[in-house]
Amino acid sequence: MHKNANKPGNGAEFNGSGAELDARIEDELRALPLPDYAADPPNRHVALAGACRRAPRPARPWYANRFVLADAIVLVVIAAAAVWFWPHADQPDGNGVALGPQSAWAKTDGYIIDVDFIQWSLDIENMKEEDIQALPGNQLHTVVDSINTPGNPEVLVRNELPFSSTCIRDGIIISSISLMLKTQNEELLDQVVTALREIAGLSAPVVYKESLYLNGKYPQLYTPERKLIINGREYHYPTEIDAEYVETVHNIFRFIDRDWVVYKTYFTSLQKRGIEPLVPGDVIEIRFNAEGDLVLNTVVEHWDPGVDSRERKSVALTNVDLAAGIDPLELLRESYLEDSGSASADEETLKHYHRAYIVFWFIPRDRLLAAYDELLTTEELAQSRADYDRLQAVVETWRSQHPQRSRTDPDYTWLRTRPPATFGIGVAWTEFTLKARRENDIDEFVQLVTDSTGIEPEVEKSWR
Amino acid sequence: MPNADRQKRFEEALSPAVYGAAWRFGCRLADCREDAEDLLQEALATAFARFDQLRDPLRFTPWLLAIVRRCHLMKLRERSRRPRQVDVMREPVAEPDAPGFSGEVRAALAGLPERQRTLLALVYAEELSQVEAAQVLGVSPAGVRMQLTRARRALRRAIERQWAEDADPRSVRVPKRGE
Repeated sequence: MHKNANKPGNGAEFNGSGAELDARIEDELRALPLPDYAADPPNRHVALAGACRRAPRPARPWYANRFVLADAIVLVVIAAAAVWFWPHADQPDGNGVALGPQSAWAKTDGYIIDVDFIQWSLDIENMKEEDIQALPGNQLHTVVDSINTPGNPEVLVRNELPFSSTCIRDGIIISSISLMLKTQNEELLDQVVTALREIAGLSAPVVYKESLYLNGKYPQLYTPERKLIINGREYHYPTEIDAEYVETVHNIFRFIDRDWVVYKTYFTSLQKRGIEPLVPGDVIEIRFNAEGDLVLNTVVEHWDPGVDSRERKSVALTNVDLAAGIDPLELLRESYLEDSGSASADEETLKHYHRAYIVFWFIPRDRLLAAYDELLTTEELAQSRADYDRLQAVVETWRSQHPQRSRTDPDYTWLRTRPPATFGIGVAWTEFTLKARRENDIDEFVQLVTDSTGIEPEVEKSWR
Repeated sequence: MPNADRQKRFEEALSPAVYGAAWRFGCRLADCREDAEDLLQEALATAFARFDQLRDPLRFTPWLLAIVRRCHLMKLRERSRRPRQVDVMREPVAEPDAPGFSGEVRAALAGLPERQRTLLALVYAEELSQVEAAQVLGVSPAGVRMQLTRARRALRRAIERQWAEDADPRSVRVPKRGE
């Protein structure tokens, strides 16, 4: 008789021998429960169609693999020769950048610098080619060139992320550019960050010490792992959304990051896929990986169904568009006429129309910069959550006292918040943006937040 | 069209029963429905791309399950290379424990190496023959027999260890092998 008759969980159910115990275990293994969702498999035909669409090319015949093997052997020989003659190959190339495996560029660890250049108060009426060249995003290349000198071959900064853009709306231009800096040299990293801060102004570069992103494109942008979830409904790749999903996700990412920039592209690409247009309150979420533990989400807050921005000709202009002579003033006029319902608008009106005080408040980016090389602890996460809750309470108070007003209203105020998101290594952040036409409103808001939370805000207050 | 022909043959091979087996196996390996769907989709795409490499159509099921497992392992490797990400607004969800002996078996199973866990699931839960399980795991049938014995032994020891920790040590007698 087995003596384990009174142990927890087992109770008096088992009193047999060792062989009986084995048999009982086997019975339990046979009856291992599946999760509930296992009873509801994805549609087989849809899954089949998706699988076949993703793999249009026939498999290689067996002899092709031999050629691959031969290619590999040749490559190994070439690599061995390169290593043998290494001292010559490790010299800087024409741009002063060492490309050999002994340089920092070949190391596996490095830093990501994410930079949002924000250019306000652009004189859009007189913008010329040289104005465009003077945009911070274009100044970036000056910084890059200054880093990549022949005497400093340990650094390579590359701007190869796909969503570099210069966009315009309401007289505001934003350039968002991300860099990859491959260096182990922390002092050099600080120098680069400082230089970028100077040209980026308010938006401090965010640094990710992470090798993951250095292995290719921005975080698995083009993999099927990325998922789009709207109001909890997941749009699954590739069974529900075809290959253009990639483009859609890219645009949504931009939508989240620069929410007003890609209205048209975003909505039309969703609509083409039969997804209902978004309305305020809708929750958009993107899961960046299969684990679902890297999530960006946002709530559609300021979509005004009465203003059909989807029908605008364009709300985003690239440098190329601007250089091609597309008139941003006309876009602004169009926007004003839509908002105000007026039949016409002179330039003086337009100047007034897009002017407002603006506060950007990033929480808690300073904290994240201080902790970029380690995960936030449970206490820090709890602190971040508490910070956010307190800020949210302030926002609710403010909104109850200051209803959102139209931009054509002399008392125009507009406050936007974003849900906290995580990004990079244990980073928690959110941002608050307040636009107001009266300076007192800004002061009041800043005071309210400071008094309520005790957090030093990162604030830019300026008349635009 | 060779591609259309391949697609037709692939659809025939992937009968509802085989599809169901692959889905269930994916559900056992993955942590949630989303991951299971990803896993199945990835495995089907891979299987279709390599379908012409399958020499014996009768081995389609274990061949497909092997691909499911390989895709799962690749995801695990990818995950291990990534930094752990957190979401400050998401509360962790506690999984309910299964009651009684089932719960003890599941807890012990979770502590086994991936290979042993998968083998036990294939042989007992999915009712594959040892030959088929060997094809899934890419080992010989004799190797599967040996691993199965080890896996069962490891599972039993884990359960017994659990009991020994929970109960009064003076009243516990762990049955010896063969008893």
